[in-house]
Amino acid sequence: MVIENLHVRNNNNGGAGIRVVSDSSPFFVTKDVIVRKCLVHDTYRQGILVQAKNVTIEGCEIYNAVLRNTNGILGQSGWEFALGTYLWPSDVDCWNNIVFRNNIVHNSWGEGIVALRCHNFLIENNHVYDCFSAYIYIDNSRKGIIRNNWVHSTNDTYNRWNTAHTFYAPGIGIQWAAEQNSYGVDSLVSDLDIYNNLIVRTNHPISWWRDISNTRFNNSYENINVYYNTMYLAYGYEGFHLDENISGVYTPTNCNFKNNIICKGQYPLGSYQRYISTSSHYQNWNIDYNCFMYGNIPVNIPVSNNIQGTPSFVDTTYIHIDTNFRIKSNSNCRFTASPINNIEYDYWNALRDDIEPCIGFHEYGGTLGTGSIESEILRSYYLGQNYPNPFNPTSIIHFELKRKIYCKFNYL
Amino acid sequence: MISLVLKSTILFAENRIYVHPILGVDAGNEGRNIGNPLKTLYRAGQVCHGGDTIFIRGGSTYIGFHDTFRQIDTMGLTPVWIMPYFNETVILDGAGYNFQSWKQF
Repeated sequence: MVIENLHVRNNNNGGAGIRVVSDSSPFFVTKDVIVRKCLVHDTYRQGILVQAKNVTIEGCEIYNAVLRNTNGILGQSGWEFALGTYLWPSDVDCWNNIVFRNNIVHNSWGEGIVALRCHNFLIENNHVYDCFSAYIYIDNSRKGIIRNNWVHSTNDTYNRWNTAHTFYAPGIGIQWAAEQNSYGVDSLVSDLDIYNNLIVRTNHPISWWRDISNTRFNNSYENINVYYNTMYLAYGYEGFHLDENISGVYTPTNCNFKNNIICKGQYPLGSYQRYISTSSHYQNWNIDYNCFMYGNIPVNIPVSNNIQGTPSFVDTTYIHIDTNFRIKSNSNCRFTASPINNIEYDYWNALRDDIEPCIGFHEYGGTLGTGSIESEILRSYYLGQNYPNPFNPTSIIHFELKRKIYCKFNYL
Repeated sequence: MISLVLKSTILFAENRIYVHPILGVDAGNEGRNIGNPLKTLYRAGQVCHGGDTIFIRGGSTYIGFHDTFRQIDTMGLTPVWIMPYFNETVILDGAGYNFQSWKQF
């Protein structure tokens, strides 16, 4: 099923804007659904709720979601998200093959985008801003790619009370966790690739949260790769936050933090704190080839191929923020990265340079790639497959252009 | 961002279902005539087949809108499409709907 070009609004008297969900009685799992280019706003709970398999949400704008938590009235928990999955009915083990891409998600009194109990998921090319809680939140999920997203706050309207540190701050950038759950599952968060994201003016830009109410052995993670992200202005204590480990849980293994531009947390604003948590968790990570932008690489960083000092951004103001955080030609982040297999493009779809590689979301001087995956093609143009096939009397071809131009279509 | 939908000019009525939440009628109707649309998406879900396009007629803002497909085959390879009727603007507005049966998810 394909749902597109609908304007859904004012579901502020009870529920979500669009629900793609399954049933428990009789049991029925919905699958194979695409929601494209819909405008969804002013919803009491979720903007778009997914509880189904093989679902793609793309090209949608979702805003003014989770209005029941306006001004954080629900306190420290109990809200929903603007776009995401939730596991119900509980007979289902997980949701597979979930894609959230090219969406604009903003002004949410819950999370921005959530992948809860997803196996095989892709969150890419989304612009997520001004959300309460976390901007992109991964919970009890595995085998996911979170790439090329632009995450930031523009003001303090959606700041959330931080109980641990007793201050108000914008939501957390990208966070994973294994929350206590009611579906009896004890699984690690695992196999996440988080790369090419721009995260600005959030609480911890990258973060692991340990839910202490989850006493299961697998309240932990493994195989997490954090590559080529640019982080700036963290309103909290760390740029890269790892909650304390505890005894009796799985020890994180095979985790890499590489080629990132990382800032210190600031609390209060202007009072610089730390790049990375002082928890012992960092010892389980390979932290290498990063730029510590204010200097003074932490002494507890176990690997010495990191650099320090300003990355020399084009600008750091909040107009056209994504272009401002490109690096200048004299940046110390040029020539200093370590190429990563299978990451061929930067945030801008420029080819990564294996000879003179750059740290961060921007590859300086990179040439625009042709892209081998659909999402990268979408950055410049998109020509869809006709649907259904030509043997049908009607066929639909979607195409998208980045800007308004004349174009010519030929078909043979 | 510009988005267009290109379609061939050959269209067969049997692939189309029309829904008009105000003027439509469900009873005894399959909604395959533009002059006799269905009232609800629920009914459209009962009568649709793979490859059908369900057109929601525009020109009105549907206040108090709440509708659902229930447990239908989504026909992955020959999907059902739900979209506005060509260039018409469809606004589904939930204002005023009373969600007495809303469940906590």
